[in-house]
Amino acid sequence: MSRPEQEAPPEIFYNDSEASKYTGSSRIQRIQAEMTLRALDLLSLPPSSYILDIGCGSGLSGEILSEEGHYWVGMDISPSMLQIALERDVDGDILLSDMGQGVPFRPGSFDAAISISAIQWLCNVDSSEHDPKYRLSKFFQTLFSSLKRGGRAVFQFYPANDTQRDTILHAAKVAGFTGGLVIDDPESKKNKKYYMVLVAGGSPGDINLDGVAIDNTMKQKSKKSTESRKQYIMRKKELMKRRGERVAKDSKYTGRKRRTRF
Amino acid sequence: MKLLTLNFVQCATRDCAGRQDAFPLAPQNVQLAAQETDLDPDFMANILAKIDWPGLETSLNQLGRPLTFTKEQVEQDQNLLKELHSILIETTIQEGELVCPRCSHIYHVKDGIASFLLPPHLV
Ligand SMILES: C[S@@+](CC[C@H](N)C(=O)[O-])C[C@H]1O[C@@H](n2cnc3c(N)ncnc32)[C@H](O)[C@@H]1O
Ligand SMILES: [Zn+2]
Repeated sequence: MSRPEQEAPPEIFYNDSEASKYTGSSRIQRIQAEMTLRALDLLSLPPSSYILDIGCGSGLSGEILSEEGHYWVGMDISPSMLQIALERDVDGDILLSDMGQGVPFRPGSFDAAISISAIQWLCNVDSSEHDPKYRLSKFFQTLFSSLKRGGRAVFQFYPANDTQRDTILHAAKVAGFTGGLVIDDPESKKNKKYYMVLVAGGSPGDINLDGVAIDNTMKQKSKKSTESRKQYIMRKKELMKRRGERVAKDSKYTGRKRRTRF
Repeated sequence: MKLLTLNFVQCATRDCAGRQDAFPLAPQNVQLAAQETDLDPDFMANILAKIDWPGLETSLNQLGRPLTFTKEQVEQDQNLLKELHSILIETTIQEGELVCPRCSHIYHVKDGIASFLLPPHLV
């Protein structure tokens, strides 16, 4: 199977028809939701946090942030994906923007950043002006500044190979981030997932990242997902409660999509 | 774009990125809209600590809707908190332009989405 990144630049690949196919697929919705919940788990944020969603697309990842009681600003380069986000009436605020040109926010804006299935696109060379090293470094430098001190960023991504994975990690470190890689289901070809967990300054010592090691690649097993989205959320909430964190009260709405009221 | 977001974005051009005087972007020829949402006191408290208050005052003056209260007053008055919520979270810029106060680069807003895509020579 060929990688979407090899087919066309992102704003061309995610055209109207691909964007609606992508967003309408219940399989994709489920996978993106699971990965977003996993990333939130690695961020372990208090409720009502202010989050940047990088490569937010049509809002499948952002929707989960809203359901979990957070507020988000999304940036994406594909007008078609953002159009669908509008139609789906997402709660986050969205910007048309190329992460390779930098994150256009003033210092300390966000409590955290999240990016689900997007940053591998930064390794593309889609025009004569594109230099992936320069774009990666511009991206991580401006992201670092836009986060509050000690703020975290979690990236689920699909590296094409080990070189690409290391190039991305290296660019993040040069920009000043500490952190490392968490690999879920490392033995499974199909379900193996990479999460890069970064901390913007502050002391990484006070953070329990469940097996994330600084400058080290750790392997970690994840639970098989035979459970429903609601069960998954309930399990995560239990986990957070046990860690002594505040979580939203369970209700019949838990795990359901929220609608904006007029 | 929510007025909240306007208080956080800054000019992204090569010359302006990271410069404090490239903020706030000035709204011009804008069409505003209001969308009702629930007030979340925890989020408002979080955001109050992050808001650039002078920047917010500038933006609201530029929109012709000057603020009638100070940050300290909001911290003590539930009704003012509600008013701030309605300004920051419920008010959006639907159409118009955002102009950099430093380099005058214009960012366009269409359908409520601001475009920060830059031509290559400004990156
Ligand atoms: C697989 S989608 C994921 C979208 C969303 N995070 C989700 O979980 O459904 C990848 C997204 O990354 C966006 N993207 C790719 N390159 C980008 C860039 N340089 N700047 C901003 N967004 C980009 C694409 O437009 C696309 O919407
Ligand atoms: Zn400027």
